Amino acid sequence: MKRLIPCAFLFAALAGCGNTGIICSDTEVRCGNTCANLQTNPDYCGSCGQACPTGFVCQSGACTCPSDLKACGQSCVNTQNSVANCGGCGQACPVGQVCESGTCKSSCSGSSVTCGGSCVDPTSDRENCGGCADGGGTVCGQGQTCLNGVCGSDLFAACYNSGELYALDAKGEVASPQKATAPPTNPVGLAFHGHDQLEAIDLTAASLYTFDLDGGFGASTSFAIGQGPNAIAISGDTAAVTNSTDGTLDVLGYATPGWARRCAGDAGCTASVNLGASTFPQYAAFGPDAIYVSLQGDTFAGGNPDTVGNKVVRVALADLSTQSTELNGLDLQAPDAGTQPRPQGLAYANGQVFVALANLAGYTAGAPGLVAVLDEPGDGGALVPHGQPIALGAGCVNAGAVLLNGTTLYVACGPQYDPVTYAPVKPGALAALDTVTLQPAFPPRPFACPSGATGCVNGGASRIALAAGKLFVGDTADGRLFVVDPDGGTLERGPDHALTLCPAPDGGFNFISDVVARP
Amino acid sequence: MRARFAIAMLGLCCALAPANARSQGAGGEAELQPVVIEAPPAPGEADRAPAAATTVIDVASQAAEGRSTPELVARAPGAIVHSYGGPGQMATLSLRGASSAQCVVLLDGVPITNALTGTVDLASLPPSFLDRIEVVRGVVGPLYGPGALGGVVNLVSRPARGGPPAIDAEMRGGSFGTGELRLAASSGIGAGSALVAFDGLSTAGDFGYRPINATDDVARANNDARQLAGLGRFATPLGAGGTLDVLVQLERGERGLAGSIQNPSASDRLGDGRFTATGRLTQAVGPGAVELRAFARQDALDVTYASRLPLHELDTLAGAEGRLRTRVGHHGLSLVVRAAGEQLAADGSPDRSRPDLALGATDEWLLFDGALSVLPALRVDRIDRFAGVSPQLALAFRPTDALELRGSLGQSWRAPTFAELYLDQGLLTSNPDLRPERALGADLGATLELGPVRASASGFASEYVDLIEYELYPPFRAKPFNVGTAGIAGAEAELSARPRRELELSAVYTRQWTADLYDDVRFYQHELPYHPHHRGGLRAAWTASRLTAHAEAFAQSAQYLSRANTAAVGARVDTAAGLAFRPIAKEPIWLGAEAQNLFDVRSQDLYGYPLPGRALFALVRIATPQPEHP
Repeated sequence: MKRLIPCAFLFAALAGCGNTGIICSDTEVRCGNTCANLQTNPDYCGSCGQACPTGFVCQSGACTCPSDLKACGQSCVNTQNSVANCGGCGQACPVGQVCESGTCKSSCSGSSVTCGGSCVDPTSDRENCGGCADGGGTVCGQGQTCLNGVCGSDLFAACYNSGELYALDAKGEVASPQKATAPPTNPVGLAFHGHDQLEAIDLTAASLYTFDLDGGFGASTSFAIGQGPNAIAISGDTAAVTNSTDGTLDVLGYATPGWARRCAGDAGCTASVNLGASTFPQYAAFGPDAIYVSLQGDTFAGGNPDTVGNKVVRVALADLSTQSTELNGLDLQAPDAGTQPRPQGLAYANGQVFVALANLAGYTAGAPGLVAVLDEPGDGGALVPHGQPIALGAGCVNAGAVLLNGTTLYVACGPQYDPVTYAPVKPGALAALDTVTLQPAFPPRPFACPSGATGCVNGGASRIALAAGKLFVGDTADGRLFVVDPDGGTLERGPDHALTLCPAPDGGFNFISDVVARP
Repeated sequence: MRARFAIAMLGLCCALAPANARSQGAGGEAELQPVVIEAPPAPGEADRAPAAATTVIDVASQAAEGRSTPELVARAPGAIVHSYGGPGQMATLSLRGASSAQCVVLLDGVPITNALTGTVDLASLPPSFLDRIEVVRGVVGPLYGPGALGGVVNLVSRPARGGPPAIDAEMRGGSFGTGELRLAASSGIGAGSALVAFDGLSTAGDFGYRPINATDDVARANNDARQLAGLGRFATPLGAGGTLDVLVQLERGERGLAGSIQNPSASDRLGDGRFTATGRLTQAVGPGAVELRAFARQDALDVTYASRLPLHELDTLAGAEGRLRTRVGHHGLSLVVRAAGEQLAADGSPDRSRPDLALGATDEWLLFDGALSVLPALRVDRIDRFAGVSPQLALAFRPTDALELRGSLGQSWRAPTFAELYLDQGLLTSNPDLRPERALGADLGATLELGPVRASASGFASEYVDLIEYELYPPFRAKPFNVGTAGIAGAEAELSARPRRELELSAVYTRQWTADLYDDVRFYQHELPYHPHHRGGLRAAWTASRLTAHAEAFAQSAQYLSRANTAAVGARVDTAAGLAFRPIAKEPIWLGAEAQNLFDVRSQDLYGYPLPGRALFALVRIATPQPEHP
């Protein structure tokens, strides 16, 4: 009706009245009667007329094999269990033998089962998920892996500008052509509620979208949150969303059929936790009894950042009361007084809160990226600084999001921005801190293009996820995912051969705002 | 999600009487209107758009009401003014759904759009300098050049008057620490006439508002504003049908940038200044006239932030325009040639300049003894590397003396601003690959004049393509891209009546439909943000020899704040009433009072900027009798 009114009043050529047919997202093209992302769709890989051979996947617009498979002729093969290519292409096992761990054997060992001569674990094998493919099992699709005998994706990434959510197979390092069909507008944060519920917060829409992965990636419900949401953390059935524009924290509880605000004492269930004007809360992390929130303060306007920001707030889960800890007095290892802590990502472990300090002077890096350690006193009081902040090493500036895995805290650093134009002048990096020794676990790994690489753009670092034993880091310079070995920090997929997920809209720009692993 | 706003808005507004109606109202009542509009006014632009929907707001005759320029412009149908914080604070314009950057604002014919922002701050223009405001709506690029996608607001300065010296002085003061002094003096000088005027405004702007999640009001801080402005004008006949008109305006302002409710700013400041000079030479030639005009403008902008680098900008425009009007048979022809240059010097970017060349022609072809006018127009512009053609065809049909029907179809375009193309500063980065925005529009309208009643209505539809929109460019910045397509349609209605000589009643109403037509499932067919469906109002004014009074109410519906159509700012009603009287019949001294926001409605405009509650003002005015003829 909305379009009929102007059309009726003048002529149909105006106001887009003649625009009929399917509407694709900004990053897709029309291929016949369907919309396709030519970067990831195996039926339209690189162009509308290009379909990948069976078993191949489409990655960055080219047909290829998943990273854990090998191309043998026109097939992608797992040489670890292929009876025809056991240990390598063309190395067939003798008749009657099976292939296990790249070796021909007379029978499969342990809990492995035989599927067409291959020894497979039906709880994790993509080609025989839940059982042999010819015996009731399933061949998982592109971007899916086998999770306890059920096909599904184990990694999800959000594209900010295009609003897309992508599902990935972390082991194969392949994105699914399937994405959220009712996407958010501009997703900035992802988190899982349980195993099957993906939550996405949307900056523009100021909404929390819930995707029930059991019910299809496209089905979603939404819940209104505060303005300027930045990050979401979930523990059990409680979610915490930082609203940077409003200066609030939304504490939500889940009860079928959806999320609702938790009550703060007698204040009713409609109010958010007020952290104050110009505080710009950034990240939230759960501890046993509290939610910890970093207050960046106002780097943009003149809101007196010295007093309203640069704090970590402890929000008690029992009554949502707040206690704040000042960070301004810490040694920022800065050459001048203009640098401020600007706390960002944080994590709780063993009675301590680890918080990354961007250490900014205005917008640009004023000093090295740091991690401050704060002790939880255990009496409901404010956190107490545990000594001085720890430098993450040369090459880490503008420390942001964190991921705690075991005793290692991974920190997304940078990039570094020009103080006038704010253009990135140095690439981002991944740093790591041993939370026991409080020493860097490995030197920061920059997302820099190899020397002489043409057409390569240095990467930034948005957020981090750990899946299939690999670290995936979102890129702020393009719609890419970098892959890093969590143990030594080796860059397995850097800017020159990263996973490309989020194509830029026509003539525009795109980046990955968050990436999250399925628990 | 906001439900679609479907209530009928209050109608509203204002005088809006055409120029000829104004002169009728003032007839023989020189004392009633201390500022008489009788000398030939500076050339309005509205006479060049006979088929466009045009509203003329008589500023001079409403001077005692103390309204700001943004408030006056908002009385026109099709006009939406976005206000950012109360007296003296920034206010921007939207016409027929076009953004501020897609509307042209002229000060006596000189475009005053800031090269950096692509917008005009209407609050920086003192209404005391103005004779009238012409609000021309529609895709009128063929008549006004690039940028006029939604329409044009032409601010026409008070004319220089002949005769004996006359003064008009007014002092106002009231709520929020607001005080204003306005002075104007005119006199004949030889065969010519001169006008000098001064306007000084100061306000603390410390009105109360309710912060987010708070239970008590607090005073708005860092919301003060100060403004000084001066005007000088000299006009003289040159003989043989020629006239010379020279005008100089200066403005200097300084104000706090108070920030939004959520994130107030304690110390960010903005200073601005403007110098505008025009010289116009008009010579009658046969059945027509030749007009030569030279103009120059310089805008300065200085913004200081507590935690960011300051921003300094100097925008300079200079040029000349020649216009020939003549009549050949049934054709009224007009040719215009224009050459100008604009330069922007700003921190963080090398100086930029670009030429601005134009050649245009219009024809008014009269048929059937003038009952039907056919008005083709074509204009070619080149701004730096951008070139565009703006065609238009309009028809005006007058079946009777009382009724006029009109319609038009036209196309216009807007070149990207300096900032959009080149300026990397603050949170914004640039994109030198941008294309111009384009708009195709059509409208139909009718005007009926029956004695003291005048009614007009029009409908329009426009399609905008290659819209320039800023997208987040991580992690802090935004970059412009041509990523928008939109359709906007609407209806506008005005009604004014003068049942008695002293009483004028008027109403105005605007309805808009918008649709995001960009090929993206997230936005397709969503409504455009910042476009209320309804705006309307009512106004009544009483003007007698010793008493003037007025009351008005304007209302507008809610509007979305994002393309996602989620967050919205609510509907609001703006009310005002006031009176002024002359206690001593023989003395030209007026005492008056004005109340604004009578019901103390607390509301916000865009981006969480609170608007002031109830405000009261008092005034003293001395206006010497004006001669009836210069």
